[in-house]
Amino acid sequence: MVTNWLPTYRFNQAKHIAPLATFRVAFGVMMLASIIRFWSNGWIAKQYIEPEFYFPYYGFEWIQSWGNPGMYILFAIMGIAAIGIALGAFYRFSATLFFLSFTYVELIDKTNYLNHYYFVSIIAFLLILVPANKAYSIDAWRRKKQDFYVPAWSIHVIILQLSLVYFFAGLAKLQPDWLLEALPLKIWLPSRADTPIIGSLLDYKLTAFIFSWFGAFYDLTIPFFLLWKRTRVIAYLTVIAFHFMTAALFQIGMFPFIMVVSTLIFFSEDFHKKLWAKLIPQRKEVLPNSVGFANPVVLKYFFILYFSLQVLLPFRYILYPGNLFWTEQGYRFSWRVMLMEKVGYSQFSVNIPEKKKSFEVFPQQYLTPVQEKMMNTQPDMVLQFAHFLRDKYQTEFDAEVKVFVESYATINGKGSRPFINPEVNLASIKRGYQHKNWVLPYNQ
Amino acid sequence: MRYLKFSSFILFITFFTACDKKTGSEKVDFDREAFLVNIADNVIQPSIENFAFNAEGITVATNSFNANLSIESLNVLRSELKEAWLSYQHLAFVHVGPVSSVNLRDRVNIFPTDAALIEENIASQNYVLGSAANVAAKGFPALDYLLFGTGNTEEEVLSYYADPDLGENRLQYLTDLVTDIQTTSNLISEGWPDYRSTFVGNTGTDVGSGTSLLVNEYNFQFDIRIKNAKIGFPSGGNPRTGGVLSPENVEAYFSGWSGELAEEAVKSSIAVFKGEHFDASEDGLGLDDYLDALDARDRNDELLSRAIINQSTAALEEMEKIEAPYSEIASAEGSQLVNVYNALQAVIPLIKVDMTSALSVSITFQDNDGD
Repeated sequence: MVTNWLPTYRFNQAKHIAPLATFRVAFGVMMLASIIRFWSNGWIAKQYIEPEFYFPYYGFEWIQSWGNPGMYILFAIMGIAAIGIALGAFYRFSATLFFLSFTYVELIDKTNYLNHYYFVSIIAFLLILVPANKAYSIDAWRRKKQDFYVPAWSIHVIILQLSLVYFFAGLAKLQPDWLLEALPLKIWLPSRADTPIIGSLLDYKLTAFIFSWFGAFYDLTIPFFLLWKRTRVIAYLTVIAFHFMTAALFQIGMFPFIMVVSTLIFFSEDFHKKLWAKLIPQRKEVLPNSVGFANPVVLKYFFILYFSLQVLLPFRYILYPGNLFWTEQGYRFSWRVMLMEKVGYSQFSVNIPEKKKSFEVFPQQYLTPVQEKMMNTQPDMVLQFAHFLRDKYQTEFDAEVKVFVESYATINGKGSRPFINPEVNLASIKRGYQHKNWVLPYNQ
Repeated sequence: MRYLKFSSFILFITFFTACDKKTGSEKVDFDREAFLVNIADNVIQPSIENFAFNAEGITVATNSFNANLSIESLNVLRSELKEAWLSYQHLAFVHVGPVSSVNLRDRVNIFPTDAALIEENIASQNYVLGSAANVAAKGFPALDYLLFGTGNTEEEVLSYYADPDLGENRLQYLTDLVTDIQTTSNLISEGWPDYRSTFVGNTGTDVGSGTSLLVNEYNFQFDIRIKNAKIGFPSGGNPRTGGVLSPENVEAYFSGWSGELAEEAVKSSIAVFKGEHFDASEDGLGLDDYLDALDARDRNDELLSRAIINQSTAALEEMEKIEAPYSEIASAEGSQLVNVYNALQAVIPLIKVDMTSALSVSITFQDNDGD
């Protein structure tokens, strides 16, 4: 029994909803801001309407762009759902709608995969499960009944998820490039030397070392410092400083701000109660249910399964031979954030033996700059693009088509080397989770 | 606890400063602004001036040719064309600011030229040179056709323009092409002073910064416009897959200047990379110095800047071995052009992968968390 493993943890203990409600509002508002920003930057069209070709995830090829105006409608739905989450209006429905629409968009093209989008997706998923609308919400107001108590797990799953993100991001930094050579920060920081105020410091190699070591220390320890009451305030100030620094230095959009507001959930019940009291003066509160909640046991097992998966997923790379950074087999969904500077180049050639034809294809003819950049360094995307070319020319010439690629890549500025085996006809390679033996070994 | 945290942070700093003094004081010692100023004032500006001077030269020569159809005026015009075409090769590498906004490369150097379309335009007298449909019917390659491809001898070319029916139209088309080049040159010259401060002022590596534009355009010119268009397409493309030989696709097909133009282009690439002053009087701050300041190295731990210069020079040496116009040798399978192609291809990963990585130039404003 689970309860025996964790004797002191009471899954269904009654807790005040305030921290969860704050989280709900903050997350909803941040999502709405993200959507507005995305829309106003013209990225809906750039990423989901203009491309001629997308890179769907394996098994999710049925997920496709809705085109114009479909994508705008989808984003509008997402925006309304985010408002629903923030206000706690038709909450379960809103959270489900947000999760589905956001995840759908992310699955259209893996070019746009970012750790923080994955983070948003899973938080949205967790929000569907937690009763974050029982108080301080439109739903409570509609029901004319505020219920201030939620089971402990509904707050703790979010805290646990946030902690896992930080901890794994920290764990991933414990490797020689990051710690002993301050890579890739040593490459990135000097290029940011035009940043106001701190810019001139970024040219010093020591700065890259300090940032690297501090970054690893921060990621590994911040959940614990936030959990412990005595260090919480200083830890939170560090959270603010850390994320604002990364926001100033790197193109990472809303992520720093999302983390800054999300980590508020580590604060105590009292802190959040006071916060809410300022916003919505309360007359009376329902007394805590000392017995706790009777949630279905199935939920408990579900979370055991869910978090086991969260813990195991980042380690799945162990199942593949070769250098993880090079092959990227098991790289995504593992909180490896800002960990490598990787650049590649690829030039495809199409060969149609029957017609005695062969010609070169430059990806930029069909891909956006971002798509090309991402594809150049990620073998599964190279294969997808090769298949796109195969299918396109097979139809055009009505003959068997071979596709080869001449490609090079470099990791952390350590010198470019051949990437994909140029002798392999990619048209005949199947997609899937099997080991990609057509990626040349890193140390060939 | 907060003291523990603070003191451990201090500990890191002392650790690094104390036991590794060399690392501690090591710094990327490079003046980005001085680099951009050098590229702007000693590379780009004189290239623009030189191009403008040569554009003027063709204009003047065309006017004299118009006024007096003679072998002499034809030869003057031809040599002016060559000078201008050579001077373009330098500017094509610094396709930033107004050079990029007038889209110089597409506007003056799309080859192979479309002789049939040119003749059609001449006959109909109904054409807009600025339209996208006419990119292959104008610029240097079109002049190449008009001054070399319209007859086997100078006399034949002259008689092409002396034709009682179409001679006038032909001269008019020639003049229109030259006017278009002159206009392009004027736009660049006029636009540069305004753009210069933007170029020099943005010392970052974001999209739109001088460095980012310079590096991206440099790569495009080298990979697509030189390696592929000048060498790869005519000689059969990537030799490994055995492409189709199409010697008629060389640059300057009719005049046979393909080799000289391609060599000039590679020479320009080296000069721009080194930040060499346009008149070659001095080697100023260039991409090579920037890479050295970053201590960028290739796979064999050689300085990346050295590797790029050596490999580009090796390509140039392969080119210099070729005496005949490329159109003649491109018709043979596995010709010397394949060696040139391979030598140029060896530069590509160094400039497109290693250099962009070391300089950390952005290609987009979109979010990217580095994975």
